[in-house]
Amino acid sequence: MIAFVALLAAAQAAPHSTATQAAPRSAAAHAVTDTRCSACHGTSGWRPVTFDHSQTGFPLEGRHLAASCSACHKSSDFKAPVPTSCAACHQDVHTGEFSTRCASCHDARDWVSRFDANAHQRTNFPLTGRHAAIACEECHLEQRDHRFTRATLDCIACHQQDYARTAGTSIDHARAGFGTDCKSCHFTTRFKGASFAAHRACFQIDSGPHAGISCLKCHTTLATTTVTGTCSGDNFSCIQCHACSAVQGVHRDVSGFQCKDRKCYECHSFTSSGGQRSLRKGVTR
Amino acid sequence: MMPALCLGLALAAAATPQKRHKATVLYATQQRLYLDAGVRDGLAAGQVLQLHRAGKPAGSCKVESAGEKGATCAGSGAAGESFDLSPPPLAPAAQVQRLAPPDPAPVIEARKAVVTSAHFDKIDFHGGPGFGGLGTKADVTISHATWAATGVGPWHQERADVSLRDARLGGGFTLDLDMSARRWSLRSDPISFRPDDPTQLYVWEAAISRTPRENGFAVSLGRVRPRFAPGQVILDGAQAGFRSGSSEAGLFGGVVPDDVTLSPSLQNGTFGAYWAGQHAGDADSALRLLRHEARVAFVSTASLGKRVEGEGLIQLFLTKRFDGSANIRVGAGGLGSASGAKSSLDALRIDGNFEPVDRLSFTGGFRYDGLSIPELDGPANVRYGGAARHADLSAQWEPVAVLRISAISGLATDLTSGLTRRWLGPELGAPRLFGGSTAVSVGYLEEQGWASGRSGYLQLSARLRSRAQLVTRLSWFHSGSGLSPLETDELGIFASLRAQLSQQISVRLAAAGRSALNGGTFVLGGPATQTVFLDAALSGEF
Repeated sequence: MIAFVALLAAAQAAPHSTATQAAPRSAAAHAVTDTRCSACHGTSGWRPVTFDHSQTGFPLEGRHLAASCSACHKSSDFKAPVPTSCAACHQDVHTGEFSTRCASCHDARDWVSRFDANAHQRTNFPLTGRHAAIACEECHLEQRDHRFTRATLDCIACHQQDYARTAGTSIDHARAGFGTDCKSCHFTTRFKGASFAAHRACFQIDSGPHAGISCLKCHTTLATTTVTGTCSGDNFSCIQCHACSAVQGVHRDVSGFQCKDRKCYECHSFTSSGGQRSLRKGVTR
Repeated sequence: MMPALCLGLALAAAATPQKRHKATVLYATQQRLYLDAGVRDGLAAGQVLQLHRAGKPAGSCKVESAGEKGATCAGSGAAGESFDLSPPPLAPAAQVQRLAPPDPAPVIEARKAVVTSAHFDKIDFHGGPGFGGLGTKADVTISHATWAATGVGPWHQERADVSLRDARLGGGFTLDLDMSARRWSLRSDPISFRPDDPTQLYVWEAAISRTPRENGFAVSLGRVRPRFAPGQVILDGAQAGFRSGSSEAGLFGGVVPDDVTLSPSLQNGTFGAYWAGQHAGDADSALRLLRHEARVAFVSTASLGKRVEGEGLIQLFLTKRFDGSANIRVGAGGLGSASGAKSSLDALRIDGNFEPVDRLSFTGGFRYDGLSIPELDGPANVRYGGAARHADLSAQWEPVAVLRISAISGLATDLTSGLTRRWLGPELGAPRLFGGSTAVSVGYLEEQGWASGRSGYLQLSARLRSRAQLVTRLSWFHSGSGLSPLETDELGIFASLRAQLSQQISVRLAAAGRSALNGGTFVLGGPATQTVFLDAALSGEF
C-alpha cells in the first residue's frame, strides 16, 4: 500500500499534462500557418486546447485522449505528418514475438489484451472445454517480457502428473499399458470419463446399453489389466449386473448356455458393428 | 439572519442606478452648456436638447460630446435649466429575412449518417527526427479473476498491476516501473504453474534512466527493458548508449532473471551491443520512415549454455500504402539448436500491410521460431515447444463506410511433432452503425488439420454515451475427432463492460462461459461441462 501511495504521489507530482503550461510567448511555439486561434483555443484561457483530431484520419480514442500533443507531434509543427503505426510510439514488450501488429490484440481504449480463448482458435492449439477456462500461464510459463512462448502440443507434457496420479487409482495407466496420447481417450471437456477406442473392437461402450457406466461396474479389477488388443481379458463380470436368475429364463432354449461371465461374452459382443443385443457371427438363438 | 438579508437587498437596490427622466445644466458659458447627464442617460453627440426654465421653453442646444456621466452642449442657456432625457431614436428595424424551414428529419438523418460514416483520408506521413514516447503516465489496476469448470476448480486470483512511465526524478532522470503482484486465494488441482507459490510478484521493469531528446548519452540502470535492442529480454544491469539525432548506439549487460519467477538469478547473463536508427523521407519522398535496430550479444544461460546471438529488425513505411517489418535472429553455439548444429536460425518474422487502393487492404505475416530449449524440470514443466511455423493472411474491403468484408486465413505447424492446423473463413462487419457508436460483426472459420473443426461467432460492440464500452459475443465451436476421441460442440458467450467513471478511473467487468452441447453422447460419465471465467478490474490512469 505504501508503494502504491508513493507511486500515486509520484505520478501526481510529475508534470503529466500540458494543461498546466503557460501560454506560448511567441508565435514560434508551434508553426503558425493559420491565425484562426479559435479553431483550437478558447477565450477563457490558452488552455485547454480543443481540436477535432478525427479530421486528421487518426481519431483520438481511449488512452490517446489523455496523451499530450507534444508526445506525438515532436516537431511542434502540427501539420508535419506523424506515424500512425502503434510501433512508432510503443515499445514492443514482447521482444518481437508478435512483430509490430499490436492492434491484433490491443486497442487504444484499454491496453488489456483482447486475445482470449476464442482468438486461440487461430493458433495450432484451439482452446476447447476446460482449456478455455484456465489462466494463460498454466501453459505459457515464461513470464519474461510478457511472452507467450509456444507451449508444447503434447498432452503428456502438461498432464504428466495426471498420468502418474492414475497409479493410485483403479486404472493404473502405466501398468495397464495405456499410451501418453491422452486425447485418444480423454476429452478436453472433462478429463474423467473417457472413450476407449481399443475397447470398441471388443465390446461397445461408446453407445448402446453399456455406454456411460464406469469401468469397475464390469471389470472386477483393473490393477493387473494390460492393453493387448486381443480381447482376451477375463477380469470382467457380466452376472454381477445380469443376475443368473434374470437371464436363465431368456436363454432356456439356447443350447450350451451357462450363466458364466465368459460364456456371456462368447455370444454377446456388443461390438460397434452389431446392434444393441448383438450376437457374434454364427451365433443363433 | 433575516435583517442582514433585507439590508443586503436594500443596499443592492440603492446601488442600482435609477432611470432619470430629467437632467439639468450644471454650468453655462456664452456658447456652451455643461450637462449632468451623459451616455449612461442616453445622450449622444449631435442630439438636440430642448431646455426649460420653470416649466417653460428656454431654447435649445446640440450635444457636442458625451461622456459617461456628463456632456457638453453647444448653445445658449443658464445653469439650472432642465431638459428631458428621451431615449435615442431607434435605428430602423432591419428587414427580417425568414429562413427556409428545416429539411425533413429523414433528410437530416441521412446527411448525418453520411457525415459520421465518412472515410477519412490518412495524412501522408514523413517522420521527423527523434524517437517516440508518450510522456509521463501512471497506470494502476486492481483486479479479481475467477475460473471455474464443472467438477473442478474454482480458481480465484487477485492482482495489482502498476505501471509508471517516464516519471521525472530531477536532473534529467526518469523512473520506469512495470510490476504485478498476484495472489491466488484459491486454486484447485491440477496446477501446472508455480503450484507452491500462491503469492507471486513480477517486476518487469524498475529502471532509472536518462534519455536525451536529441543528442547525448542515454543510460538506464536497474531492471532494464533494453530499448532498441531487438529480442533482448529484461536484465538486471545497465544499458548505456550515445544518441545523435535519430540514431543511437551503445552497450548493455547484466544478469537475466529467472524466466518463470523473474527473481534475480546469477545463472543467466548477457552482454552485448546495440544499434538503432530511423530515417524520415523528404516531403515528396515515397519513403516515409525507415527504422532499423540490431543487437549482438553473448548469452550464458542454464538452459542454452553459452552462445552468441545476433538480431536485426527493420521497419519500413512506404507512402501510406505499405508498411512492413522484418526481424531475424541467429545464434551460434550452446544448446539452442534442435539439430545440434553450431549455428541456427532462431527466429524469422516478416509482416506487412498493403493498401493498393483506399478501403482495400491486405495484412499478412510469417513467423518461424527455431529455438529449442531442453526441458529442465521434467516433462510436467515444459516451458517451450519445439520449432514452429506460423503464417497468416487477411484481406479487408470496405465497399461502403458502414460495411466491412474480410477474409481470414492462417497456417501453423509444429515442426517437432508435425502437427499442423489451417483455418480460413469470412467475416462480415458493420463497424460504424448509429453514428459510429455500434459495431456488429459475424464470422466463421473452417479449421483443418490435426485439431480440425469449425467455429462461428456473432459480436456486438456498443459505446454508451462515450463513457462505457460494451462487447458481447456469442460463439459456437465444433471440434473434430483430432483433439478428442469424439466430435464435440460447445456454445460460448462473452460479455465485457468497461466504464469510465471519471477522467482517471475506469472499471471493467467481463464474463465468459462455455457449455458442451452434446454431453449425452459420451461414455463413462459424459463431458457435459460448463466453464466460467469472471474478471473485474478497477483501473486508474494518472
